[in-house]
Amino acid sequence: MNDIYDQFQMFSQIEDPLNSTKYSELKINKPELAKRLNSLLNHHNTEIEVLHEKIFSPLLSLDNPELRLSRSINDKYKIIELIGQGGMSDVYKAIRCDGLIEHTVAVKYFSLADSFESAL
Amino acid sequence: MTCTISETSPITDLIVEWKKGNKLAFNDLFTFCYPQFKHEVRKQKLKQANNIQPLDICIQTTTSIVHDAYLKLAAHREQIACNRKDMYVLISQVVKSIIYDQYRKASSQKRKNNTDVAPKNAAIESSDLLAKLLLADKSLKREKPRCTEVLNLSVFAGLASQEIAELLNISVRTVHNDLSFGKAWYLEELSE
Repeated sequence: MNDIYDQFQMFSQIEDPLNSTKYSELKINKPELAKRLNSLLNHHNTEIEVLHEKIFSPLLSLDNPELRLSRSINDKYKIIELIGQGGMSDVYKAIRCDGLIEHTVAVKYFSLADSFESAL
Repeated sequence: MTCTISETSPITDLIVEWKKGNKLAFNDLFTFCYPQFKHEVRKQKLKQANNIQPLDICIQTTTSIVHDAYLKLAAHREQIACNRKDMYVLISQVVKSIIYDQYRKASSQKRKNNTDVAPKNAAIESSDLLAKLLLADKSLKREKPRCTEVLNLSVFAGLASQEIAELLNISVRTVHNDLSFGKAWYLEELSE
């Protein structure tokens, strides 16, 4: 039984696999395999929801409307405040920031857009 | 809603029609799959939100992801075979690629080096996560290709073990074993 998949399944059936005689033998005979197996078996009892969290949770921080605050639009306007949210878009208050005139506008961010630029 | 595969569902007929080039069949197919995409991604996001983030964020992101899914699925018509297995494999691939694309976009904002545009920490985190996910995908596929398929169907298509077993024609026990190994493999790669 050389395959790490088979070894993993076999050791998963053993109580306290890393302290078993079989694992001690594996460490002597195949140290590299034993090391890799050790790291995998450490995750054996971890719930799959932990993996879901690692894969999906950063999406939330990427999509947080608050993170768009202080971004500039064409170096002319700066988003300063989130003033409304709906199912399809967020609306922000933005002010002119190039010093030419004083101007305040409402900016709508469409959530179906691919990028910040195309969203406006 | 629950995401189950019904033998009486019209999905196989729709895929056959779609493969023949019937665009109306694709629309029906998408109508059939849309709630599943939406449900799965939303479920994942709500699970993570833990009442800290507003629900709007989840809904908006989901809508955006499903919109992207429609476009990507439409572009992959040629890859579709005439069975539900390939359809669900494709769904998992599409949802996965949309999520990876979101991380890729965030990573590219880091490269632009424009402090006005990107939340820098999120960009660095996305770049790191994406690199590790791609590495985990590649190495697990090389080690045990079936595990990748099983894990993708579970994580990105939201199928239950019984459904995966039926689709891949393997036992439920094998599905559990594959999920256990695949989960450990990814967690290890992501922790490095």
